Amino acid sequence: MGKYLAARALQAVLVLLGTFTLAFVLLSVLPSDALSIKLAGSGDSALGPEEVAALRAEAGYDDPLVVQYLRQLGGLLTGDLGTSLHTGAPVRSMIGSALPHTAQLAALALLFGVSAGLLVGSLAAHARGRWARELLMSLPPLGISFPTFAVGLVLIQVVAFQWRALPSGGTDGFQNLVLPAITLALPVTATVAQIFNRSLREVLEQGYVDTATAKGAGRLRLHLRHATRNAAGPTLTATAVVVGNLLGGAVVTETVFSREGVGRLTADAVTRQDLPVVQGVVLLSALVFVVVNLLVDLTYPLLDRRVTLTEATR
Amino acid sequence: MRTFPRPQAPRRRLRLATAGLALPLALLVTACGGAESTGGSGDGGGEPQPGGTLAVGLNTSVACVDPHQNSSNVTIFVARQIADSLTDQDPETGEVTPWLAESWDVAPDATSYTFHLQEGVTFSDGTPLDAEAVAANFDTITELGPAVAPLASTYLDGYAGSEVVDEHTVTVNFDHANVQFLQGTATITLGILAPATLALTPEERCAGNLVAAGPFVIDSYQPEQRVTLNRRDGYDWASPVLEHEGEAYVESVDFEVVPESGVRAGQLRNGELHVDTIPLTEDVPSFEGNGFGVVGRPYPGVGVNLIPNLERPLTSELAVRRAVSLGADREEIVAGVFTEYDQVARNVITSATPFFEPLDGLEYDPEQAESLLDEAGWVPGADGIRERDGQRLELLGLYHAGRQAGPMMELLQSQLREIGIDLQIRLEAPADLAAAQASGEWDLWYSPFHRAEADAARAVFGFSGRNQNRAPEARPVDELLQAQSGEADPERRQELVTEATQELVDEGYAIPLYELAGVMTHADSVRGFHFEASSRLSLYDVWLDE
Repeated sequence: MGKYLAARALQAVLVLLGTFTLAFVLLSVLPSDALSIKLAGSGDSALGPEEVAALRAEAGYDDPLVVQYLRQLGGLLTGDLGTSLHTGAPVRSMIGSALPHTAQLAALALLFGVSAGLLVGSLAAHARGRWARELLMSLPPLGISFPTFAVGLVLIQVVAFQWRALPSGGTDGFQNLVLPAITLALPVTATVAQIFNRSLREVLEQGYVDTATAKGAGRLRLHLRHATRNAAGPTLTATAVVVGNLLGGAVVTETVFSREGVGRLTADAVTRQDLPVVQGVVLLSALVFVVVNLLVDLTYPLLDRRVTLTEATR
Repeated sequence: MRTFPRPQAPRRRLRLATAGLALPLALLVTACGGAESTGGSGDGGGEPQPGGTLAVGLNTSVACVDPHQNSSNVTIFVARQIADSLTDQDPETGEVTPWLAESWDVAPDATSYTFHLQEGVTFSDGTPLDAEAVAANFDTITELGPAVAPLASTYLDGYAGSEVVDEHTVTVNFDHANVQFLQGTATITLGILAPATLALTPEERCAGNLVAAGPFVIDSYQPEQRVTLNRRDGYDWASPVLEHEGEAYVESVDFEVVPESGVRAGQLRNGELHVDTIPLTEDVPSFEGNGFGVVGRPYPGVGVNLIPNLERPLTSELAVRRAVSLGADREEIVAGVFTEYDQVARNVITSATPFFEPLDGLEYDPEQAESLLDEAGWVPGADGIRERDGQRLELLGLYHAGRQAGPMMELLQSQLREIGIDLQIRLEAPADLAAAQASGEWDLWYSPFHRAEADAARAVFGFSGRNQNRAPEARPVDELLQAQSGEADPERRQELVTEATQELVDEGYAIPLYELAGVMTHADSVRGFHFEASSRLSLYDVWLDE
C-alpha cells in the first residue's frame, strides 16, 4: 500500500510538471502579454510604443523563454504561484479565497447529479414498458445537449424572476447555491444515468441474478443488494471524469449566477490575460484530476474485492 | 471489467444513498425567500428624502478599486463616490470648476499650477486634507510610474514636484507645459487619497484599503461580489456643480457584480437593482417610460473614429481615406444600431468635450467619394469592388468589443461596399489587440478614448502621443496638436483645437463616426440621478423615492 501510494505520488508530480510546462508553452505563444494589454489595450493610456517596450523589458517579458520558465518553476517549487498582473495580489491567495465557493457548488452539484443520475438510470433499467424505458433514457442525451448557459438563464428567469422562489445569483447563502448547483448538475446527471443504466442492464443479465431470483429475492432487493454494487465501478470512473469537468462548467455557471469562485476567476483572468492566474488555475485543475483519480482507485477495492491496489499500478 | 458478483451488500450504506436522493428534492421545495419587490413609484419628484440603500449593478468584478492605478469603468464608478478631486467640471460647459481647491493660478506657460485649498476638509480617518496631502498624492503617483498608474501618470506628464506654500496652498510644477493637467485634476484618476492610504502598497490599495474625503466610505469590499459604501457623516464640501450641499442622501450603496446582462435587466425589473450601469442597447427602449428611466450622455474625449494606418499602402493614400469618410452614412449608423443618446460625430472629439466645435467635411457624400476614387484611378471591378493595377480596394478594419461595435462595423461595411470599397472587419480580443497594435497589420483602427479634455486628440493622434496613425514623421497637424496642449489662453486654445481637429479630418487622419454615450437604466424611484462631466456615475445627489 505504501509503495503504491509512493508510485502514485510520483505519477502525480509528473502530471503536474507536464501540465505546468504545457501551460507555459501555450501561454508564451500567445501574441501578447498582460503588461502590454494593461498599457495599450485599455485604450486609456497614452504611452508611446518605446515606453511600453521599456516597461516590458523591466518586467522580464523580454528574457529568454527558458529563463522565464525556470524562474516560474522555481517559484512554483517554493509554493509561490506569482502575483496577479492586474491586482498585484498573490495568485495563491486569490485561488484560496475562490476555491471554497466552487468546492461548495461542485459538491452540491455532484450530490444532485449523482443522485438524480442513479435514480434515472435505475428506473430505466427496471422499467417494464419499452416506451417508459426509452423515454427515461432519452433524458440524458437531452440533458447533455442543453448548454449550461441556457439552462442557467431559464432557471433564473422562471424560478428567480417569475416565482421569486430563489435568488438569481450571489455567493452568500445556501439559497444562492441551489439554482447554480442544479444547472451544473445537469451534465453530471446525464453521464451518470447513462453509464449506470448500461452497467446495470449488463449485471441484470448475469447468471447470478437468475440464481438470486430463483432463491426468491424480490425486485427491489435484487436491485439494491446485488446489482447496484456491481454496476457501481464504471459509474464511479465516469463520475471521476465528471468531477474534473465541473471546474470547466463552473466558468459558465458562476458567470451566469454572479457567483464568486474559481470559474469566474478563470474567466476574468483569461479576458485580462492575467497569465500567472491562468497558470495557477490550470495547475489547480490538474491537481483536482490527479487527486480525484487517486481517490477513485482507492475506492475500487472497497466496492470489488477482486481489485487490489498493486494491480492498479501495473 | 469489474462486473463479477459480490453478494454482501452493505445495507446501511445503501440507505444513506436513498436519503441522498430525497434530500435535493426536499431542498427544492422548502428553499425560498429571494428579493422583495421595491417597485418604482410613479412620478412626483418632491423633496429629497434621505436614507435607504441604493443597489447598483456592475458587469465585471472591481478587481482594483484604487483610482490612481486603474481606470476601468467599474473602478471609476466606485471610486468616484469615495474620493473627491481638487477641481470639478461643469457637465454642461466642460468648464473646470472649484471643488477641494477653491481657486487656482496657472502660470502663463502652463508649467506650474497653484491651488488654494478649502479649509476644514478632512479624510474619513480624521486627518486633514491639506497641501502636504495633495503633494503626497502627486508624488506617489509619479513614484508608481506608468506601469502601475498608466492614466494618472499621463495626466502628470513632466511632473517636477510639488511645493507646499502654506497649509492650504500647494504649487505643482512641471518641467514643460502641461495644459491638460488642470482637467486631469477634475477626474477621479487624480482623486485625492489620504496620506495613510498612499503609504500602503499598491496591492493593498487595490484590495479596497482606501481612505479619501468623498461623500461615501467603503464599508466592505468583495471584488468578485459586491462593494458596499456608507454615507460619510459630516461631509460638507460637495462640488458646487452638484445639486445640494452637506451629506449624501442615500445611507448606503451596494455595488453588485452581475456579469450577465439579462440577469441584470431581470433584477432591475424585479426591484433587486435600482440602477444598471451597462444595459444592453436593445433592452433600453423597453425600459424607458415603463416605470424606469434612462440617462445617457456622450462620453467626452475622442469619439469613435476609424483611424487609418499611414504605413499601409492603401490607407497612406489621401483619396482612399477621404472616400471612407465621405462614404460613411453616420445618420444611418446612429439611427440603425444605437440609442437616442448616441450621436452623429461632428468632430474628432465629442460634443461633451471642452473646446468642441462642429467641423466641416463630415457629411455623407457618396458621389464625391466615388469621384475621388475615380480620379485616383480606382475603377469598379466585376464584383463592384474597385481595382487599380490588379489590386483590389480592400481594407482591414480592426475593432474590439465595444457597445454595438459589431453591428456598427457590419453596417459600415455595407455602406462602403456601395462606393466600391471592400471593408474587411475583424473583432479582436483584448489580448490580441495589443499585439495587433504593435504589429501594425491593419488599415483602419476603431478606437475611442474617453477624457473630458481636448488634449485627448493629441494623446491619440499626435506624433508625441500614441501616434495611432503610425505616421513615420511629424506632420503639420502634429505642430497644431502640440501647440494647443501648451496654450493657456482659452480663446487661442479654442482656435488651435479647432484648426488641428479640422486638419485631422481634412487629411483623413481621422474618420469620426459617432459619439458613444454612457447609457444607464434605473428604476423610477431613483431621483436626482445624473452623470458627472466624464459621463460616469455620480451618486451624491441621488435619493430614493420609495
